[in-house]
Amino acid sequence: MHIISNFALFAILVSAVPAFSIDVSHSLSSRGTVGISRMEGFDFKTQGGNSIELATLLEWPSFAISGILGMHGAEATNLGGGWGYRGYEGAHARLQMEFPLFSGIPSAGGVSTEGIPAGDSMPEETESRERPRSGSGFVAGWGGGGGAFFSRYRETELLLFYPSAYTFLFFDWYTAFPRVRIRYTVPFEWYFRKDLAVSFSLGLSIGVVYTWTQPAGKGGK
Amino acid sequence: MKFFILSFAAFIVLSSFLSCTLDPDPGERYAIVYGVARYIEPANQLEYSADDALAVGELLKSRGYPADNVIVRTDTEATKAQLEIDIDTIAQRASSDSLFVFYYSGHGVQWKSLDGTDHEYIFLYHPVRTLEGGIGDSELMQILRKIPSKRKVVLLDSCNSGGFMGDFPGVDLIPADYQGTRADYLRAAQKAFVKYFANVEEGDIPYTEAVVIAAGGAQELTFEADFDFKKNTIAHGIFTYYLLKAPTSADRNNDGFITTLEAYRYIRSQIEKDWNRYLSTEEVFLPRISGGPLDLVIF
Repeated sequence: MHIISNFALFAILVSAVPAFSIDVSHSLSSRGTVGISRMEGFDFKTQGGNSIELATLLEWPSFAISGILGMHGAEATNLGGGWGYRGYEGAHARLQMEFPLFSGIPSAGGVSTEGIPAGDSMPEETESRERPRSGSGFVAGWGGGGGAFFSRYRETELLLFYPSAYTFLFFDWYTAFPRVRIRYTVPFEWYFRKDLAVSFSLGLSIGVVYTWTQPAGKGGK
Repeated sequence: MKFFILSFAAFIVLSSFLSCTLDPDPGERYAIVYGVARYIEPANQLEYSADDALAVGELLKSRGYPADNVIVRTDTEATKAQLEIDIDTIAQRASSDSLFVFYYSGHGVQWKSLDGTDHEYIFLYHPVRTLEGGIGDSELMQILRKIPSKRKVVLLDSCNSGGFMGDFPGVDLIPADYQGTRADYLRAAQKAFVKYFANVEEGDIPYTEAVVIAAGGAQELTFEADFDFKKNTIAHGIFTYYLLKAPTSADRNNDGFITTLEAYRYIRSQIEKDWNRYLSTEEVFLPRISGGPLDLVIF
């Protein structure tokens, strides 16, 4: 019953949003990270991690808001010196905002081509901060947000909560399919963990974004 | 596009490299090993706690702990006053970079104080009355603080020993009176969220002080046995029996060293496999490990 009503809400949302120039998209991404940790009285150690995330994006021409749900895991560190930091795994949620900074739209995606003589093309990189609504091209930008993590130390049944703050650079590669784009991000995340004095990670992620709303045709927008 | 794929691959390789294993030798190490079977009252006598301590002492020596650095006391030698002397002795010799292990086998109990809080005790030998030899959770923490080592491991083979470990920052999904089922995940997540914003409670041994591995939960009894259910000779506390086997059976990554997590995982899985499935729900028990980010090589 809940699923049906949620789906109905989603359908209404998707059908209504074009009136407000909003695109509704979902993305599935995978992230690899290097975490840096230090407990009070101990040294810094690194631990490799990964996560998989499902995001819902509400995209306006000049910014976007995303809600993200994901699963994460981190390997235990090395045991150099007779000690290490435990690995952990769990689930997390994030809320983020992002802003396109520049875009490269080789075939006038999102910008009218009327009036341009045949044979000419739009510049390789425009000053536009808007997203191409169709065709190939790219948009790069930055964003930031906060997260809430529930992690369980590996090999134990000990569950802990901690929030995070993070920023990221993103690069959206628009494919030949108008609804699909490939997204690369470079995130930096700071974890406010009570068990560690310092904990942050740097990573790279790759994902696929699917836009549910009908992108405007060439010359649209 | 190629640049991103290549940089992604390079990043993954770099991550793996950064997490590769360096020398895990724990370096200088010390241990105090206590076991009490012969309490003053006949009704309180145990069978194997002194043997537990002797066997653990030998295990540590065989795993590279210098004989001079391992103090083993059993029965009438294992008194509260003697423990304080032994702690002072080690405190003078150990440095902040040393590894220190405290092991105890004997009786333990949980009492509720007048303010409603639970306190756990272990009982060293006392020549007049066993209760006089009790060391509470807070008191043990204060005693251990005299040791300057950053790396401390506390191994407790006694009833209610899980109550000695601080319950911060991790919320244990195993209830304090484990009866074969885990706590509800959502409820535990809610508790973990609330705990993040709460002040740390002093009293038990916090994760910053030591990694504690206890034979059972704060409200669980633990046992010693002559044989297991397959008629194999045990002749130890059940927890200690598997601890003694850990060096040969718990080395999950085959690096030749056993960490607290490896030992815990092995002991727990063996108790679940060889004991709990034969015991009634009131009798089952499960080892616990304290919450904190550290994993220490113990032998």
